[in-house]
Amino acid sequence: MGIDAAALLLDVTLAATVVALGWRCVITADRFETVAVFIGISLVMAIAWTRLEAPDLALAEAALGAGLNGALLLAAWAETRGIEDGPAERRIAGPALLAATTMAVAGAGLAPLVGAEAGLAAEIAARLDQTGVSYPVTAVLVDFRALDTLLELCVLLAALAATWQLGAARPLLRGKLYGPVFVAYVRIALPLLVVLAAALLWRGATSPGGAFQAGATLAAAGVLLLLVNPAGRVPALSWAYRICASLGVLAFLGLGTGVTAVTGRFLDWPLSHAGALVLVAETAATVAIATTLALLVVGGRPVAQRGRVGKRH
Amino acid sequence: MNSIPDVLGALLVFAGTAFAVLGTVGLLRFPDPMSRLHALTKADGTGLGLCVAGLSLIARDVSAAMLMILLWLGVMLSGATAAHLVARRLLARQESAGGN
Repeated sequence: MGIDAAALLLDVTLAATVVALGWRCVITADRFETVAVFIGISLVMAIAWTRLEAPDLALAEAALGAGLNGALLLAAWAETRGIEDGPAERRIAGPALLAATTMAVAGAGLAPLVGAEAGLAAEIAARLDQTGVSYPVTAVLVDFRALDTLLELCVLLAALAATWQLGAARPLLRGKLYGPVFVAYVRIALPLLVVLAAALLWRGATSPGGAFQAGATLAAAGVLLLLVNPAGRVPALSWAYRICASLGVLAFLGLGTGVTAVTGRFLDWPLSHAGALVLVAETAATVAIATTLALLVVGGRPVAQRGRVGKRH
Repeated sequence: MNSIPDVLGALLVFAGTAFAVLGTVGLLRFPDPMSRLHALTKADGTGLGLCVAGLSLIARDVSAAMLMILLWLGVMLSGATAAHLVARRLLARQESAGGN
């Protein structure tokens, strides 16, 4: 009973913290504070997902929500720092209306689920041996609902294409901001992140992990690499970026179409090679997710450096 | 429940939590950014280290303990670097503002 009370206290504290941070995030007039609090929400949400026994979501929330999304928002904040956005006054009515509407819609949407059976867990468990992986979440992502994952990869690719239309990438560094300690840190962290990404990808077949978490970790390594790049600019290798960024969509489309010859259905992996096909598709997806996320943080089309004759691709 | 490693572990976790709380108090109460950085990195690093030591004693599992120690090293490395970057930026800003 004592443990239950402690767990309840922890859960209530987590829920209250998320709501309080969310309120702070929409109510503040300071854009930097909005970004910082939003990153904080992701961190608390990662703990909340852990408490809800959803380690995959916790990993994704920490790596994508707090990590990459945080870097993205901070980069966006730095880009728009000089721009005025009206008088810095506390906004209450708008955020309150937004919060009330969101809660009403979420409540209406979730109400039918209260007391419902625990989803499709039993049916997934019953068919797990037809998938080539032994972890149900990965089985859903790359087998049962592989089409959804393909479409998610398409969304990422479209986001990158849209970002590239907005203009050329700006320099990442303004002056010598980072110094030798950061370079030494990157030397240690970079190989660790690459190994971690590989481990997350490989372990995704049997335990929490997979392409999105591995991709986010690899993208973090990419962002670190870009930050210590002495040129302060993303190398203009757009053909390589294009291949890497579309690798996931290409692999899912190619393999998915290929297997129709055997199974007759798009993205229906043949049981005999399901494990290997899933691994290839997930590896390609990891590369694509990592490339796309890192390039989204760059925030523009990488072009040849000014003052140097670069090839146009 | 009341074996010696469990009690020792609980004491270590309690001490670690105390360090984390004190670090947070320092972060909120200290007057300037530099001392706030001290509170954040040193107290939190020690606090997490004590928690890891205590949880390792309670878990009695070498691989879990190694994993937690690896996490602790990662947090120390990232925390120290991040604090250094903040401090570096702060110094650069102070210099450009004319020494103070």
